[in-house]
Amino acid sequence: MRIVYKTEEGGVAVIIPADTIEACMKDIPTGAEYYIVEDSEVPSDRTFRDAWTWE
Amino acid sequence: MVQELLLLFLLDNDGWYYNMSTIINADTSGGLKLTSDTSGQLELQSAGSTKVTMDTSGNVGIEKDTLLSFYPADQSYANIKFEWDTGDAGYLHSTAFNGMKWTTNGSERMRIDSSGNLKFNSGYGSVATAYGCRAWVNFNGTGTVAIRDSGNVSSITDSGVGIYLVNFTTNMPDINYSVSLVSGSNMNNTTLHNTLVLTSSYRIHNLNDAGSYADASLIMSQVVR
Repeated sequence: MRIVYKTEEGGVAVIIPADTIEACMKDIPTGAEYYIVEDSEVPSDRTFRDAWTWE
Repeated sequence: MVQELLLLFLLDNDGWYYNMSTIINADTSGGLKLTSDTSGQLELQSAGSTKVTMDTSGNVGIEKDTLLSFYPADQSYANIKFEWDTGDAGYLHSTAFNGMKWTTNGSERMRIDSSGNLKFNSGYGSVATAYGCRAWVNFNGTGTVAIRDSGNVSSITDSGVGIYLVNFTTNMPDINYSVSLVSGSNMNNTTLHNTLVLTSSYRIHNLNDAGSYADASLIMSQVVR
């Protein structure tokens, strides 16, 4: 599982847990819109990583 | 001296009951009470409750919730105490001003001083304060970014190409900690964002030889405080 949130700059950040999702919910910036997704939903091709957006 | 028959029984392997100990009881109503048997095991009781048992091999056991204390000659205070609490946690207390020392082969090897600093030698050359690695992480920053292993790290945040946050499970007490960083590529320069060193996280920038942000397949980092 991953946590995806929208950054203030309009991009996307991805939180990769060391252990459980619950243990890293605190790592989401306050007020950020976030989504919990499967690992497979995050692209492994990072060629255009900085252009990622979340719809 | 009062002799009293105490009915203390246990089941043996064949299901027979047998008397288990010779008992010395400091009773609150009758004074000293003795119960003798041939088991070879000895119990010390206070008010009918067993506090210390010595078995037939000479092993001495102290009952749970009973405090074992070692006093100096003047009995002014207990400078070492062994204790269990009701949660089954064990405690070794020292009220001596110089803390506690561990020695082997006639030399001091480790100490917890009166301020709570842990000091040890372990090849250093003297017993000195050990400064702990408070967090560490080894991760792959390419493809599907993944943590290989870590300690006191709740997560890393992939914030873009070559930009990662390391988030602590337990926060640092302040931002004056020291971070070591290394990537697996000799073409990369892995640095720290100097204004994003926080008590809860720090931000890593990984740059290629052209000075542009770049992902790295092997990034390792440690925090010492």
